[in-house]
Amino acid sequence: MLLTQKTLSAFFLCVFRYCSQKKTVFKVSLALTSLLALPSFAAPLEKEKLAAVMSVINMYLMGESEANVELRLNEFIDRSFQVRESFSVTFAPQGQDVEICFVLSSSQIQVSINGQPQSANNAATQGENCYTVPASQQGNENTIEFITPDGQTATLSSISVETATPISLTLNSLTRSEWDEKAVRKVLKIFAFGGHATRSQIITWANMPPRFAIREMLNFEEHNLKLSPLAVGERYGQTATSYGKLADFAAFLADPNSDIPIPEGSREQYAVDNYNFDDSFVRLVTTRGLNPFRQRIGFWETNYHLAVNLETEVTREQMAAYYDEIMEAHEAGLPYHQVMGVAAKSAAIAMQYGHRRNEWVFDRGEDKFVLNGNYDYAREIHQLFYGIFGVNDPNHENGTIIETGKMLTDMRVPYIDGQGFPTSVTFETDQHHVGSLQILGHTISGADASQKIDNLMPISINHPESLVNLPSMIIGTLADDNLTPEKVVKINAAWVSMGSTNKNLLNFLRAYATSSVFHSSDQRKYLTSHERALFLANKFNLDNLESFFGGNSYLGGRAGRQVDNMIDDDAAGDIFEPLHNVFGGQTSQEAADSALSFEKNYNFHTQNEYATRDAAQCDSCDQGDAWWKKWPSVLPRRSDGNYYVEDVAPWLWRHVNGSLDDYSELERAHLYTLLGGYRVDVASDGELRNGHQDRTFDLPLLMCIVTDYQRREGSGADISLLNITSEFDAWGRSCTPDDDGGVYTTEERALLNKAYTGQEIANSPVIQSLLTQMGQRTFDFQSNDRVREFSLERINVGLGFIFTTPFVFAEAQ
Amino acid sequence: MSINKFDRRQFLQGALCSGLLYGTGSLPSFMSTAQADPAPLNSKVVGNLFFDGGVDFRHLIVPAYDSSPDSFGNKYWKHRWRAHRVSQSDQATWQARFDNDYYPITVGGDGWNSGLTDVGGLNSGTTFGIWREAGWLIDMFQAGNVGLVFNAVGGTNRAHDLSSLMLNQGNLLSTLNQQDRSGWGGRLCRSAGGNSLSLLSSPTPFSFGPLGNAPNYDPNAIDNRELISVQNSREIGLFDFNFDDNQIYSTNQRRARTAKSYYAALRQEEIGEVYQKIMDHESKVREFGELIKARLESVPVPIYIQALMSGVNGPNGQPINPEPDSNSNNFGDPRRVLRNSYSFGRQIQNFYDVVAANPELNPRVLSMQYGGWDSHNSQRQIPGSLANDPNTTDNRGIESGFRDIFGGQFGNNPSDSNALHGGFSALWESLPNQSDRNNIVLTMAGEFGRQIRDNGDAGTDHGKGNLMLVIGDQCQGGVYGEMFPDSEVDKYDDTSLNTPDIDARTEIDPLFASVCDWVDSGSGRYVFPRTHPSYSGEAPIIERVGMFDSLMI
Repeated sequence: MLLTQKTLSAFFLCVFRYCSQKKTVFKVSLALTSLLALPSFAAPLEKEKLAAVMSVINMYLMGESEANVELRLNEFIDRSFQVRESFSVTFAPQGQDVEICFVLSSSQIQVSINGQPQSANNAATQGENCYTVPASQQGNENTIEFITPDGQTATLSSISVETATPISLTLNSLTRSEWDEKAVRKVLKIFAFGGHATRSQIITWANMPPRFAIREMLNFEEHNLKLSPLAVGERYGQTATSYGKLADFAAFLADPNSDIPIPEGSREQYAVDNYNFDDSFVRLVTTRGLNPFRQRIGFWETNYHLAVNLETEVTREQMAAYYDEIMEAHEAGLPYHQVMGVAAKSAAIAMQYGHRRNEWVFDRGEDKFVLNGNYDYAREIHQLFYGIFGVNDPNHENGTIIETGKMLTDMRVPYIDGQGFPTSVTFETDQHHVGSLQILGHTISGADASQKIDNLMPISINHPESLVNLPSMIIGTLADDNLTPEKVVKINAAWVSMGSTNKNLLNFLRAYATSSVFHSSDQRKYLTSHERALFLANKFNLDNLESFFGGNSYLGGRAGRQVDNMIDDDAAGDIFEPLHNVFGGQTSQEAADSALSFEKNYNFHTQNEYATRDAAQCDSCDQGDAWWKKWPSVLPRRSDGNYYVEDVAPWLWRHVNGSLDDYSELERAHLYTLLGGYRVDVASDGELRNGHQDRTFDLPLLMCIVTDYQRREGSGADISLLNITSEFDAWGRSCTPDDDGGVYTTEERALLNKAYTGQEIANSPVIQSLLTQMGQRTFDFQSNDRVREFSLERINVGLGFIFTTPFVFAEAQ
Repeated sequence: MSINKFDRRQFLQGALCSGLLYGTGSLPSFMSTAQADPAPLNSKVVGNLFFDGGVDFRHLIVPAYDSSPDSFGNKYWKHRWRAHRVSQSDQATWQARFDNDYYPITVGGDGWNSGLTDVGGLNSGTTFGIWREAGWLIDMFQAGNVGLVFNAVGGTNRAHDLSSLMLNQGNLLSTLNQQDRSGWGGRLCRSAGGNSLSLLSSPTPFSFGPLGNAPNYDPNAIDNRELISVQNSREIGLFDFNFDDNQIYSTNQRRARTAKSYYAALRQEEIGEVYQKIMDHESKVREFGELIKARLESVPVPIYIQALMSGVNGPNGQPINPEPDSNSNNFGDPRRVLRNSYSFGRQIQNFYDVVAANPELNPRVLSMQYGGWDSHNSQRQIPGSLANDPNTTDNRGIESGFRDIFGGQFGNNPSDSNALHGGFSALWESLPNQSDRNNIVLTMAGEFGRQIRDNGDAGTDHGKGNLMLVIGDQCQGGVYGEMFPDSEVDKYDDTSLNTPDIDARTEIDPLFASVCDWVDSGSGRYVFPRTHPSYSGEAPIIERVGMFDSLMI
């Protein structure tokens, strides 16, 4: 038997690189229960509360009779079972290698498969376990037995039997054992601006077969409450059921009667017809209760693939309608060529390219009918929508494009006094070339442009050039900057496999997002300024007040993360004003090559770090009420009720970067120091002087103080963290200009300038001791408001440090 | 932990920067010797301006109106009346448009100064006009400093993205799948030494260097060791902590120290290759930011360059470009000159600053870009404000861009001494030393030309051949190639041709290779491998063999 293990699981806290991995024993015989279908609206429960709920459920379940479970291939049993004593699960021979996976709540369970006890390295552990059973070792009936010690029970859940070589649309998929938390987070980062899912939900997805998980993660519904759940105690939850469209959402933000924390006087700017309409889109992405995947695809469609530009004649109302119509078409499950038909017939496109003026008219001077208009979209409908350049087609320039120009006639978007331009095209026939046209080697008929476009789209999507180029255009922009010829062949095959009439973008993206092509070591994706700004906002914001504020200060309080300013600073082109007009916004490559983007991000998190740190609390910004950043509701908390630095630091790192792959001693040391290196200033009466709680240290400063203090006090100096941070003699008189005649000494300057390598950190007993002490410090969210505020600010500071690292600029294995 | 693959030695050589010594507590040794005055430019530099979108240079430089129906000068205006906003049938309006708006020059005749060249004598007696508001271009041409290269081609097809790639990479054989190929600017830097300066928010492929060392580098891969981005020369740099402050009280100084220490240490560790670009940005922005800041600290932005972007007073204390509308609250106040001030004006300032700080930056190639040329409709727009305000920044179609780039005056006898300085005019006026101008050559091209007939939307659709420009005090000014080919005349009225355009007669390789040879003798054949004598593939076309042998002096 082969055993594969997955990184685990919410039940355990991982300490930096060495996250413990648990193997679970799978029991054959299961006590049935369908359990724990928490309402999707329910806020995630804190661990203690969850345990209490489970206890009650378990008591109920224990009373049920036990039963065997028969597994079928590719079946996923998304339920929990209470297991006691001995149980068995069976499955029929499959004639192929299969992978059996399950989740156990306890490691005190023995598993045997077809009579072979799984022990030592193969022993199941708490969390998710996967076993590969080769076809050669499958009998007529295959049995998995689970044995609990006397008197003990355990929960078995998330059981699946899948082929060991899964395929989706011809792409090799990850097996469930390969599909882990890191993979889930990668999908969310690339396809959902990170999403808003809780860690618990992410682990639940990681413990599902990928093809089941991806359906929950990526869909085009207006609301996906697993991907974007409301925060615990969310005050602004209307978006869980309403305002899922861009136009509706912008109107909601602008409406003085909406129950949102933006002051009434500041709302109008977000209206569809107002100047900060693009900021409404930002909030559409960052607000919980909606669907960040839908917006990620909507952003790509309207700013890249089918780009239109507000800097041209396109109005904001037309842009919003364009966005919503495209996404409604996706939501309806239309084949992709029909979605592009919706776009091609839109007012936004007609305004963008100017063919709203195109007409087929008789020219007396030339004594014939001529096209009075331009051929801009006549070219780009083929090239930009489908990737058809006309290579090796001698008829493309003088035939297809000319004929397409005739097709795009009498598409009216007339200006109406008092109303402006409409958001839809009126298809007329008087000045339309009503006869059939030869486009892409086919006869295209139709009474008006609308009918002709509808008839052209199925031909375009099956054009040989489109079949070769369009899949790469999709994946190359969305997900992979390193599309090798080998990868292109694979994704093209997947695209073609959907048949000629129903190439569905969602199915394609789901197959790709769970494929080994995407989850390969040579996949890499630099985030554009827009992607990075929106991703970091979703990693920073924890509730909808923060999304609505978006880093602004209202009623004296700052909250949330800026997005629009970050994009502006990078000169990356506004949302809906793509840098390259119809050719799309800033590319990944441009973002990667932009030193400006790095510089602005760096300076924002250093020089202007207050904008991140300060967005932790306000006294009355929440419509007159106080607001507190909800870190305590999401950070790991131990059974003793405390939040330890050594738990929070890796949690934050994984929260942003998806895994602990790059969380080494170097990152740990800096993060611990920012989170746990604060100064504890105790007054003479023993009380904490809260005004000094915010004095977080940085590693070079802390080590400068320690070194200077040691130098002054001798080798016997007390360099414990407590002494260094609480005794004025230590922190107030060491490594300061005051103790050296008003200037920093050469030695102090060198220490403050010192770069501590990971190796130095690992080998320094002093640093290691300090790190241990800082790791054991806790965040106090309860003592009083001042202490609570500084605890929240320190977490923001830690997050700001992570946002400064190279790892936020790209996604790669 | 292992040391990563970042090639420090090569970077230090290429970028003339010792800043990576950070972490040892020392500072770059030559920081203290940095000068605070504009330094004279002592090495040759190419400034490349990419006209993104496919510029219609046939709108900037046009044939003189000719009443003879079969002449080029008649066909042109007959088929361009919408793009020029003149009457379809009243030829007097064509004549007036040319007379009023174009500065006439006859090759070998009126307006043709001695010293100008007409290579091969192809254009003797041809009268053409340069748009009058392109005053700097007119003055530079008449001074013999502009090479107009006709029938040139930068991209072999009519797709923006592919043709742009071809032009920037300097390879007409490129395909869209070859995004990771070096650019001709980057290759020139590798050959000639010095750095590739991008003056944009994000570098274009033109700036990307090849893999390996000259002359045997691999043009089909990218190594950007010489690439430096200077999007805003006056603000470039990373925030740092300041020893004048007590380090314990300022959170942003603690954060700056954390980040600085972290990056310096991270450089000693192995991280994914994908992140090396980010590491590269950190070191270059930090170090070059400090160097540029030190150099420019007491170097003001010249007035005419300031005026491109914001309202200022001129040397006489009077506003440059005062608001003319007496009903405006800003009546008489100085206004910016450029329509595209944020991007292009900034690039001009960066250009000036890079020259001023050239001892630190060692520039060899400067990359610039101006977009908005995809003029499928309303190629020429006439805003209402233009009637009373010749310097309006309201949208004038592609003429706004021409004015931004070429507008102004220069030299002792400018064609319009009252014209405001446009982008390059302000730069040329502001460069303090003749040696600066002597060492600069500008190359200008779009990815493709446009069709010779306008469309029904007062614009022009994608074509192929186009005009390209080489400008500099060391350029042999004149015309290269047949300006208005006889073979085009029949195409205008040929209704069997749906999309007639300018035939391509000269590919970019020999043209820009000659510029490379001026910068670094013998480099052209390596930067443009198809010009190398040993190249075995199809040689690039050229209208007349040896046409560019004397393009640069």
